[in-house]
Amino acid sequence: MGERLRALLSSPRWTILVVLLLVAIVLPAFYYADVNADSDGHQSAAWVVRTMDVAVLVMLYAVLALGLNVVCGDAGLLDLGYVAFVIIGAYTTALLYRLPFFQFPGAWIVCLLLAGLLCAVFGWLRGAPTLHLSGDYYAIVTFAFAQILFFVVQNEVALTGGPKGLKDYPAITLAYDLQESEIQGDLTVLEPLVFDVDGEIVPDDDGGAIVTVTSPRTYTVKPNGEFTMEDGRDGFSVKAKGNDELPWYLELTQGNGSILRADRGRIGSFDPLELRALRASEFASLDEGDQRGVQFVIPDDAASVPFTARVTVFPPVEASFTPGRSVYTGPREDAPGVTGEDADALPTLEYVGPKYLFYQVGGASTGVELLKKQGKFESQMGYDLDWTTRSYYDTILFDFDRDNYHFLIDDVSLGEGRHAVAMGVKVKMPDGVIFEKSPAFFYIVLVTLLLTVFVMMRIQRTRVGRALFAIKANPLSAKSSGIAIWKYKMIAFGVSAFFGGVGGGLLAFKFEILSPNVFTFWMSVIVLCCVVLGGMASVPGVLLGTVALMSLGELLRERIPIVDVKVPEQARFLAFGAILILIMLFRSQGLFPPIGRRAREVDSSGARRFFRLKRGGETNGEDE
Amino acid sequence: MDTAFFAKQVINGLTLGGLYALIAVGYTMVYGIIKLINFAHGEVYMLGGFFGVLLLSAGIPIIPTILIAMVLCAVFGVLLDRVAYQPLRKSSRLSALITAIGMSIFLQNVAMLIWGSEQRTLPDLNPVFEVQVTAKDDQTLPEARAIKAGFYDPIEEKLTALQDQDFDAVPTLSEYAKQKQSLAQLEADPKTEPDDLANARRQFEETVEDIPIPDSWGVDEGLLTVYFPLGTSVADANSLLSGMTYRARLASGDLKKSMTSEVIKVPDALDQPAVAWTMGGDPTNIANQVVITWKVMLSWLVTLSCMIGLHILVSRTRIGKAMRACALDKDTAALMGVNVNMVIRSTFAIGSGLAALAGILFPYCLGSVVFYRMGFFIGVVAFVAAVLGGIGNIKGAFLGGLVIGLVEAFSQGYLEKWTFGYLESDYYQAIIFLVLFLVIIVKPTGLLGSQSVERA
Repeated sequence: MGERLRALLSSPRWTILVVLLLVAIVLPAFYYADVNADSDGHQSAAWVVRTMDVAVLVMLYAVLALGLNVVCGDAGLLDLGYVAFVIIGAYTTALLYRLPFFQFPGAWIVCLLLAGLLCAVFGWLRGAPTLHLSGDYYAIVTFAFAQILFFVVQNEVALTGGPKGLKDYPAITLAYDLQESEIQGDLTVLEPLVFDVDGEIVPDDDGGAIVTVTSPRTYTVKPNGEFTMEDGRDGFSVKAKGNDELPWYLELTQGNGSILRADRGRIGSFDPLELRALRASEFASLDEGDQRGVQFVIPDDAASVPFTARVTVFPPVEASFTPGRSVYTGPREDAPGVTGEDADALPTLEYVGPKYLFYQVGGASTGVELLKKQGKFESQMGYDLDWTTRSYYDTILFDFDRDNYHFLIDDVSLGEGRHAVAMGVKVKMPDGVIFEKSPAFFYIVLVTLLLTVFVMMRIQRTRVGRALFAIKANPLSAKSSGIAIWKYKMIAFGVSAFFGGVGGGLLAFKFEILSPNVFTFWMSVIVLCCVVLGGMASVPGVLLGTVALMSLGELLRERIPIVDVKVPEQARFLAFGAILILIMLFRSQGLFPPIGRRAREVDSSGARRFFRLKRGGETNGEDE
Repeated sequence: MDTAFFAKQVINGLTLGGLYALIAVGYTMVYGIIKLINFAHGEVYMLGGFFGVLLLSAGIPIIPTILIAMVLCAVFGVLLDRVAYQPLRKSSRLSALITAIGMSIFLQNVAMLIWGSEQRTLPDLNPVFEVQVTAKDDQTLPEARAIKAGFYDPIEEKLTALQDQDFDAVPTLSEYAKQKQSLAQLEADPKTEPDDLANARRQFEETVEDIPIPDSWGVDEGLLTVYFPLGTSVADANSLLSGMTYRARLASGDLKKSMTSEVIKVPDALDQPAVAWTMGGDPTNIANQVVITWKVMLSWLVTLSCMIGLHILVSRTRIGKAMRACALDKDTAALMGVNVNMVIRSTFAIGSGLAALAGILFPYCLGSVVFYRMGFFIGVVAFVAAVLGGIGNIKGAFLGGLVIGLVEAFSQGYLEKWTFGYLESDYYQAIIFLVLFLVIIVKPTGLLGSQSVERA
């Protein structure tokens, strides 16, 4: 064993890989699990989060590339439709894992394996009729298969969600015992701000009313300075600055003492056209039914009627929670430590007055969604829960009684240091939900990759690998040497498809939403690029190729530091295309071809001919 | 079965199929000689489409445009072979295939970087519109002027060319709206000084007056025919013409204000029906009318003559004989004095030229859009056609193209009906791939192919 290890380390490519592995093992240690950490630096650096994100992607693609390598490298058949297995794997995993039957600890492994097996079956179904094909024809069959599957996914909306994507599936859950806890906390609530404005109402030609404010024109609400009121001459417009979610309402006292209330959950502009004002003579000419909709009757001789409006504004309040846990309230952009779209966000709690409670947990939405699906949300105070989904956050809107100023605060751990804080509701949540950014998911992917590498090394060094090598080199002599071609090809198809499915299943957990737009022909091309760049049939080569290509691809997503230019998304594919061409022209065996064949077979003839460095003969011969 | 609908699908399928065949020929010829699926062939077709858009927009008539695009693409195809494929003649076929895929991705993204990702249509070659014109009274004039001013900005240049007006001083619609709003506010405020109000009113009037009104057309009521410069797109003309006010200078010398409405595109002469007949029942029902336009006729004619020409080229001429020799055995052909590289290059040139022709005819005859990814799907469909007909066989490519065109048209038209509504017609693309899948598995040599397919 020791000798083998030494032999392994003496090879530079394995040395690099072992170093990368060590880095990967250590990397999550820099990830601070507690996302509620305060601003004293106890928070994951953005680069750690990003690097882990990229590393997970690289490792997943490495699983796919190794799977593809069985067919492409070992068996020598070009597969242009590998994404088919990724699609089957991803959608099978997601669809299975949301079934009630699969909600036990470890169900995710079962789902992944089932997805892999289903892929293997599809691999055989696709492979069996195409056993006699090779080269271009096999490539085209695989391509056609993937395209058909792509259209099926896109059109079977009932099953796959179609182009909108499939997202109703839970994150990996390790334990389903529900945690229930109640923590009492206080809310410091500022009294709502109430002030009066004076104005007058003039009927306009259409029977509506023009509401004009005559008292001071600008109101600014302190302490947060987030609310400004301006009056406009065309009507009464109320505008909010800074916080769009701030609720307000306006009470209009009419001449007869009754109060009209314009109530808006969101700040907008108050539309005076909702009010109707008429001259007394016109009013008298209306039927009784039509008179009902008129709020203001203005004497014929008066130009306008005065009114007093009462404006009530709920300012944001500070909320305090369990000692030791500080919660930031305010806009997400300004929260300490939040950088960029992908940064792991602090939970943001905004309590915006007695009427509404906005509660947001960044990234933890999956856990909350899970609960919602399982129907475990119990409302303690009988309030309706209204859910609105945003692109990244889930906003849970609790509707409270206006007069209740003290609530229970439920602080429930989602596992991985994520906490959900709810007020006045008792929340039961499963412990141990693994999100795509957490170290646990990182390790799951890492272990999957290591298992894949192990299997691939075993395959190459056993009868199967040798048989495949023989078939690739010369099918006829392999057959005459007694190798059952169909058997080994089927093994290769099955293994390749299986790992495609497992990789796809993990990708489903990584993406949290499955959209067919991700699984296009180009995904096949990227995985193929990884294999070709590294060197077909070489496990360390494929691994290094994947690391190189995917890191390059992710680097191209970043801004280029000095010139501050962002490469367009599609330009990444330009780079992939160029890499394929250049590798084929200058080093068609890949950067790290299998060691045994490197010395003999490195094919630089393409490059030589590219530069017209002829070595005898015409350049137009037949292939092979 | 609705016979008229059926006939329409046949016409549609034959048109599509002929154009697919033009592209399929490129695949099949290249494959026949160097045994390479030239994945980048679809990108040559895309280039043809872009050349078409660019040249037609520059005001070059359609026939020179097609010829120039064909020559450019032929040169491009030869370059493609020289740069990407020729160095790999002695490498494994897998290397060449991967290079072709890489080339395809590379060219697509280069096109996207150069021309952007938006979808374009060919500029209208016959930009003639008929506009309904009604005489207008003065009161609505400012509004109409403002609408017009809002439309002017983005296409200023074309407008200037059209009407010889100086539009630099045209206030934008938002400016107009702002002024109108502030005027209304001043009017509503009882505390405004009368002088201020009058001042603001005058300023507003001036703004309105600054919006120029063309006074070159001598019609104040009825239908007005407007000729735009070649290359003006339909959308531009439409947004310019609808709802504009102008001053008509009548023959008597009087000026009258009129406003346009109902912009109608005057159909191209080639869009007129060449043959039209009714089938099945009520002749007044438009669903029963089957029409073959001149454009469709033209595309059939072009496709057919190209195919016949190609067949003659391959079977009767010296270069054709060389091509056939190379397809059989390149080494022996070289020994017999055939310049194999020359033959390969001419194959690429012919295939690429025909792809460019299809790249222009597709949007011209069928109104498809031109964008950087257009070559991917159609290229693959054409490849399916080539495989179906028997790859390496020009007659096969033609037949395969027609069959695939018909399959596409019929699955678009009937898929939903035949599967009792289970499969939507969106599945037609999947059907094409299914055909490919089945052909390769069941009969890899294709309908007319005789060449034996390699076996493992």
